[in-house]
Amino acid sequence: MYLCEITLYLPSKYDLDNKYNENKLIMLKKVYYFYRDGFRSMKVGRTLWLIIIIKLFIMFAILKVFFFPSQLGGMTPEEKANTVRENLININK
Amino acid sequence: MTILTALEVVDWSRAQFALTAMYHWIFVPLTLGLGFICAIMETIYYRTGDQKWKNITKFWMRLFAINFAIGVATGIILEFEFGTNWSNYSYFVGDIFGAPLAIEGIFAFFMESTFLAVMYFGWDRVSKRFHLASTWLTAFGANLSAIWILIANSWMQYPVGMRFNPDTMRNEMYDFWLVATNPVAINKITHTVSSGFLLASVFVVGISAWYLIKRRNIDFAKKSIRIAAIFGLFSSLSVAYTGDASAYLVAKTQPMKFAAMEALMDGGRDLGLTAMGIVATDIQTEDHTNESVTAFKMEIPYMLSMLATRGDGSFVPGINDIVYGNEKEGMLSTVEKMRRGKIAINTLKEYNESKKSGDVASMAEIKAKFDYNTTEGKEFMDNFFKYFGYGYFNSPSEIIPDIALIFYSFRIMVGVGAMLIFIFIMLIYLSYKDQLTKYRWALYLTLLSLPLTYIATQTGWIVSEVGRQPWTIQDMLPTIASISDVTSTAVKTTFFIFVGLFTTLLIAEIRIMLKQIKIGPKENNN
Repeated sequence: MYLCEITLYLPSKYDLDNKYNENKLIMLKKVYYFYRDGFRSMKVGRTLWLIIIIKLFIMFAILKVFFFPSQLGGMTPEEKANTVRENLININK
Repeated sequence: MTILTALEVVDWSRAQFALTAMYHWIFVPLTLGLGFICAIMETIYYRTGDQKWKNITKFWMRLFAINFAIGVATGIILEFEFGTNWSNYSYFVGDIFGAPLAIEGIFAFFMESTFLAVMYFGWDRVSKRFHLASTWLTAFGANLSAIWILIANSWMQYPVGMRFNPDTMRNEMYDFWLVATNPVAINKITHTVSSGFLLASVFVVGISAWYLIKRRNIDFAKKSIRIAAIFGLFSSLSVAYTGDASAYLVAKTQPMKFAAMEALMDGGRDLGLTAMGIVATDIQTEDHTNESVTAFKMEIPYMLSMLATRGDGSFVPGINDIVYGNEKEGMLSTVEKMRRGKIAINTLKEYNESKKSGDVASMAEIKAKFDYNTTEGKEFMDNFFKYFGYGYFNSPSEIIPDIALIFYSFRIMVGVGAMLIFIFIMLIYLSYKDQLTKYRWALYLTLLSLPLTYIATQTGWIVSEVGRQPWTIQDMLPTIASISDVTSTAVKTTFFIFVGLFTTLLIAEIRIMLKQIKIGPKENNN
């Protein structure tokens, strides 16, 4: 016979992980909505973003690829050192 | 590459780098300073709760965003140029452009972009306190991203804390703190950042003056001027103080630049500073004296020696002393430095040949000369490798930079700086007396100071960078040895692409800014 029945609920590790993941999800959602609403309410900002995207495209997809190859790119450190050494001692004056 | 082709590539590469850096510097200083002005204005809003200050902050933040968006990443093009046009230099310079710059760039970029979003999207979405903290952190982030690049630039002007390794062909950092606390770097950081604050202050007072001239948004304009004029006065005093320290350091570490700033042909003691003057443009081809180099000049007695030596009575060298040497003052001639530089280059050549032939004994013997820890090495490094860069010259006159350009640029920078101190004091006084609208000439002068300040910040960099010519790294590597094996046609092509790209960006910035300024502070657009 029980005088009273006490139920002690101790959250398991599984429950804690769930809670943590839930909070993380809520946080991520909040950040997502924060940015989404921010971008949606933009007026001048849209033009600025367009400028940034065009500029980055010109810089990385055109200028870097077609006009600015790295002269020492693709070489091992030793090859780079040898090339620069040769360049510096053989500058045709 | 023949000498003529190399010179053409050097000239075009320099022109391209100057163009990119100058356009980049149109956007950067405003970002450095306007962030802090916005933060101060928002702090007032936070403390008073006055909605007017919120509107004022939001308006200047909008202009900050436009400038930030147009200017962001324009500096990356300089990195492209390092890799393509200046590959010898960018490899030889070693660790200075390595990890620290990347870490700082990434850290500052994430800090800036995270808090920038809160700054713009966070009004009424986050607490006032968190929003204010974000604004301050954005301002700090923007300034943080300027620090290491200025340390790197200072190292090129005054190389300390790194040693050359002939195996890796790089300058390797042996003392980080010596590099980071390089006196030239500390002074350059404070001077450059202060000049950014100064320009931003002029930007705010200039646009506010325009509103007052147009008799609109009076209260907004007066409040903005009150904050920016005080911020500007402190900034301009800081620019003047660090500018003076900069002149002192330049006299010690880059005497040719200092002599060029003054068009000083023959050195001496107790020299006067030329406040205004007209200088000859043929200094590289003709021999001049102090008298023949200037057609007219107004001098402040003793001031030059005071700037260069703090009045300790020591000798201030002129261009002729540096080129021809001055035995009495213990100065080597450039011809002697060239001889020693050529010996250093030949030693490197011998090392290269030993390396290629696999002659280990000879390699070890020559490598010892590059080792600072041995007596022989220290002697070679201090007496010969120190002048490595001089070995690339054929004539001593090659070490003379463009004197007239430096001379006039220096005077424009200092003249505008002095004028700004006067303008800020005047604005603070008129603001205190509530007479800003009474003196229209003062408003026009304030508005005119905006383009003048942009010109002055550019001329400051001209003094710094043209002044150190022909060096990319002072005494160590001249521009002729720094360039890659590229054709001048390729450099010319990209030069004109950049002219088009940057001019378009500048026009976009000015048009969007002007539109927003005309709309005024009452609109609350993001």
